[in-house]
Amino acid sequence: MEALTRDTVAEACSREQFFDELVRKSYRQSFSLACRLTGNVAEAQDLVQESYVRAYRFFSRYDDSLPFTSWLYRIMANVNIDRARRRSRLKTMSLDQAGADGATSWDLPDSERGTENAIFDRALDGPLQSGLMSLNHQFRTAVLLADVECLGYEEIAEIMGTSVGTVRSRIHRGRRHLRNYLMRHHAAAYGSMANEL
Amino acid sequence: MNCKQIRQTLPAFVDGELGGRDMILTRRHLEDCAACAKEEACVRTLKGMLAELPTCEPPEGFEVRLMQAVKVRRGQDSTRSLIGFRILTGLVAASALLTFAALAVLHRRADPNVGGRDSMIDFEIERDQAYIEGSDGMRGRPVVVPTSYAHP
Repeated sequence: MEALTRDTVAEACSREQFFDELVRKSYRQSFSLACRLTGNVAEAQDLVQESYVRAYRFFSRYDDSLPFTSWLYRIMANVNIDRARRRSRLKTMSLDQAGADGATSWDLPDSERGTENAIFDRALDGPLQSGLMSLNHQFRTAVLLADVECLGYEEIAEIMGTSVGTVRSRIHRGRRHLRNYLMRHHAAAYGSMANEL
Repeated sequence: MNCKQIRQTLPAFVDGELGGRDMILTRRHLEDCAACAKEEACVRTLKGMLAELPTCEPPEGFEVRLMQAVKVRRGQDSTRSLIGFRILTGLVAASALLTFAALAVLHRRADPNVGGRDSMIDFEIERDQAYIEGSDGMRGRPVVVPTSYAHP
């Protein structure tokens, strides 16, 4: 895939136009990665949107001689971790707790309205995606960047803000966990991967 | 290299990230060791399956919503910049006024002639009286008579 740099956006005049052009050229690829990272279309949309807004905010720090997607993925990885932390801080309550005193009620979303997302979510069904979701954020990000985005270890290390050695370890352990998951939960289809596990 | 060491270098070998001596030794080991060769095949299979995952296409209208979100952010930045510019302009104007006022006060203190017509006349009368009474410190020396002295 062609790396997005300033040279590839010759028609862009101002910095803002340049940014808009980069968004238009990269959002599909970013969205796909976000889907794999979150395993959910609605969350992927929020993740992509938040990442681009943050990218715009810090666009003055972007070195336009380097690929835009690498810089964006770094932001996206951080936003994804921030969002996971925020989610873990949210208190969960049982639906049974509502209305017990007759004063509280829940405004539940209409399940029919999510039909569009449900269609897209089906693309994220499947043993591989379930296996990816069973990995922690660091392993999942490293494996996806290496095997889906086909990036080199140095670029992944730059994106994840860590060393090449750590990236190598995360990819190795991530793949091993993924294989274990597939073996355990989908033995019929992935039994041939049982070697040395 | 033994099998345990090979298992450590295998991911980098499969990803094409291994070079030099390690790469040659790993390749040679894989030619001779069936178990490690099978492990390599498994890693390559998994890597291939991940690479073939279908691309997730964004829902209709997502691009518009995304560009809108960026535009909103841009608008917020412009508003902040405008407010910042106005505050800065106000501060510059206020400091200029204060500087001007301070300079005016200092100038007034330093210049004895600044004080109006009355103080000028008082000064000239006092000087003339001193001349008449002979207590003028300049007595015996050429005195430059002020032009105002000649006029009524």
